[in-house]
Amino acid sequence: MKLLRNILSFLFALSVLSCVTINVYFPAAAAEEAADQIIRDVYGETPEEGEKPASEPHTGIEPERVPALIALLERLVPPAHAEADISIKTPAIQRITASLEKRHKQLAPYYSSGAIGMTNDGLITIRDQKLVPLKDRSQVKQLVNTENRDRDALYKEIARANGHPEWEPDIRKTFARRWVGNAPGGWWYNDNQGNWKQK
Amino acid sequence: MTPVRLSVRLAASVALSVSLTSSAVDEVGLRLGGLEGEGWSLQGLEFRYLWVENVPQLQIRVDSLVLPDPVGVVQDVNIHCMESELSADRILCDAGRVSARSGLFDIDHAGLRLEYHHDQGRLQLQLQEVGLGQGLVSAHATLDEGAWSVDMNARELESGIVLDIAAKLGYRVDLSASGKIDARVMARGNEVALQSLEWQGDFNGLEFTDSSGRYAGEGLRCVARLSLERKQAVWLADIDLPCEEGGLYIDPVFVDISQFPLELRGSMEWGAKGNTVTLHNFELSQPGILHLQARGHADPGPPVLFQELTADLTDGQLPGLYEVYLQPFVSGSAVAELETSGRVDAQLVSAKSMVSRVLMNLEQVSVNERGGLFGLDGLQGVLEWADTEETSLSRLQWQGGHVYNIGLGAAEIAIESSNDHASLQRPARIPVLDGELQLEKLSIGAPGTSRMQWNIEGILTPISMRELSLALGWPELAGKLSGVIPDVHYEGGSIEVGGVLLVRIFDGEITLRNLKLDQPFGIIPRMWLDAAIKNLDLHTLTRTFSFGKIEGKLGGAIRNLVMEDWRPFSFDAYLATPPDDQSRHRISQKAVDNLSSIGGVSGVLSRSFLRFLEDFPYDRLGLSCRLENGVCYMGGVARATNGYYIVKGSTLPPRLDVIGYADRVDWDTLIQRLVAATRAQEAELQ
Repeated sequence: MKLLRNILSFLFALSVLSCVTINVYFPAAAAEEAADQIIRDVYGETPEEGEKPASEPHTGIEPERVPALIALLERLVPPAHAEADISIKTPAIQRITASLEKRHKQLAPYYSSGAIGMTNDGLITIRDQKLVPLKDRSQVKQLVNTENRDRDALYKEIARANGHPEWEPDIRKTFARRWVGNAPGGWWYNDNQGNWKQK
Repeated sequence: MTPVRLSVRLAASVALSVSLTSSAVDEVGLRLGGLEGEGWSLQGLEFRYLWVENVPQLQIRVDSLVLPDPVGVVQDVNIHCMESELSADRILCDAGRVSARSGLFDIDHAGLRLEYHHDQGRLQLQLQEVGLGQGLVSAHATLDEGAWSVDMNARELESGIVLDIAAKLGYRVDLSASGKIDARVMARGNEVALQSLEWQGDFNGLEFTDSSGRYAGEGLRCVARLSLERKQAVWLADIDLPCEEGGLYIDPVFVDISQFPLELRGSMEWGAKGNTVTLHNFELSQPGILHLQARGHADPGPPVLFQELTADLTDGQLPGLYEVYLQPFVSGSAVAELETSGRVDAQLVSAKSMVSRVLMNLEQVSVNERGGLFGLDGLQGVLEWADTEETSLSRLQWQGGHVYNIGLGAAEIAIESSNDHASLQRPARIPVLDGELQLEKLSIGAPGTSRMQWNIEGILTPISMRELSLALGWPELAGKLSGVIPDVHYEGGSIEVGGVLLVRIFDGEITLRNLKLDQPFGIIPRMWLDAAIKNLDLHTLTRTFSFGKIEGKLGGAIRNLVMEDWRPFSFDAYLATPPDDQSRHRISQKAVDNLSSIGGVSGVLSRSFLRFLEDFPYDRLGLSCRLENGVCYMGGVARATNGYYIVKGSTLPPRLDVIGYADRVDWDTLIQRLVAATRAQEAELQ
């Protein structure tokens, strides 16, 4: 009986130790910091730092549902993980940031008027075309298209430059939140249900 | 003659009153509770015929009149005829006034004249100055032997009210509008239907928008003339719409009409073949931008399906044509920001809304990307394409151009195309700087679509490296660049060079393999390649870079080079004198100092007796650098204690070794040091 208990204890210990896994997690905090740095460069100021909209989704990646036993074991033996830094100092990222920054001066009045708004996938869209003077509508449409092309390139580039192209959706989500978080009051954004809200 | 027949049914209450004066009857009154005919009814009719100072007057009041749609219910109808006649031959109401309320609009004391001849069945009705919002409408209608006509004049009619009335009549459009219209409408018809309609509307300061803002106009000053005529089952329409002022937005195009007035005119017919509309000749004329003529057949849809359409563009003027009608459709692409000039004529043929033939004629066209990415000047020629197997020939020539800062000279190319494929008709020569790109083969698949792909085979005849380096903003290089371009393939924004590209430079060879360019005109151009370097003459090389004289040969490789935005992002490079190099190996003081400075040390020789020697023999020299994340991991030709040999001296004296100790160097710092050291040396020597 004692032998059996020893064997069971050994097996349990083994199973606990075997749960030590090495995962590379998406570095949510670092990504947020990187996003803020880029966004503040683009906006050219740091209004209402850290402010987040009420409907903003929970920061980070949603934890997947895991079986209770594994969850328990992971509590007992936290998985070793490497939370990498997010690098944004590549020529490509700097070039895209500069391009966004330059265009932002032209876009800013339309954010303020409510003509354009921020979408929940990290892009912008024309929210109410009627708020744009007729002669500028075509140009604003072009600005929005080019801005979105650059933003798509930015998210892809950050993921790529950090060696994890698969992080692109998470980087996009992070940026989607932080574009809103760093925006001044009065600008419009799309909440997770796709409804327009004014910050 | 067909007199108007009334078939009526009287409702319950009828009252007749007659009032008498001393001389004669002076008033006859009739009250009816209700009256009904086919498609209409009335309630509460009060009829008074009276004499005032021997002039017969007529007063009619109807509480409620129900007419067929779209008029519907009309209430509180009051008609007062100051002069009237009720005789066996005719009914006359003159100098009358009418008031009524209806769902469509209200009439308030509008002038009225009505004359009806029993025997001829002829009815004439005139309404004067019916107030409609702030506007006034007058109408004259006649009904004669079953034929009818209406002439209507409207002054300062509010366009919003017109849209409201149209909506009440069942013609609801998603538009809101403001601005005044002066209009004249003449309609003719018979018992069966409308036969003709003439409309002229003068719009002044018209503003309109749909709910989404995709279609809108502001400050429009236009005249709209429409003429409709029915010939048996066929309707013929003529339209003329000149606009002189204002702005028009039809997503995504904005037309500044004040700057470029336009006129749209044309004629069309429909009704002969089902729903098909035949456009006989539609013209859009906008001096300074274009003149467009279109003809064909369309099914009105929605969506509109052009069964056949031929459109001729003549006098297409750049930059107007590009900025107004083309630029809005290409935003975000490499051709989104162009400076253009010149003239374009074109013909476009489409069948079932699919383009089947395009013919374009270019005259002295210049196209230059605003960011300086590319440009062509003096473009001239004919471009032709058809979706058939028959071959079309395009010829294009230009006076000059550039890709980035690399200048292109005058050239001509001839292209054969059929269906979804195009190829070079004969080899072409395109001057590139002082050399030439000889295109032997060019094959384009799915031209003009997002699926476009092309292949090139050709030869690059020698280009002086001086010209090329200046164009690319590099240090000035000597030598020549030439190459065989075996197979260049473009697809999905990427260009891949198959086989080997050969560059003869510094009396040696550089072979480039696995060269790939991604989005060369995109926001982040990216390039990959592997380079093998063979027998470069160090004397020529070092002279070019003012690096200090080194004699010997240099070989090696740059593997997995990745350039982003034309700057090195990562690579693994090794460059050294080849082990079997039998040439003279000498290195000058200046070169030694420069090589030392890479490791952060300078002026080593000037502090020793060796400074009296001009140059030194050496056994081998070389450097390796693996660039990753902005850091260069360095090495040399051999390991040394705590470092690596950059120059390994010869066994014969005076022996001199250059040893590097820094194995990790920031790439930008390394480049700065090299540049700074070279400049300092240059200054010192002067």
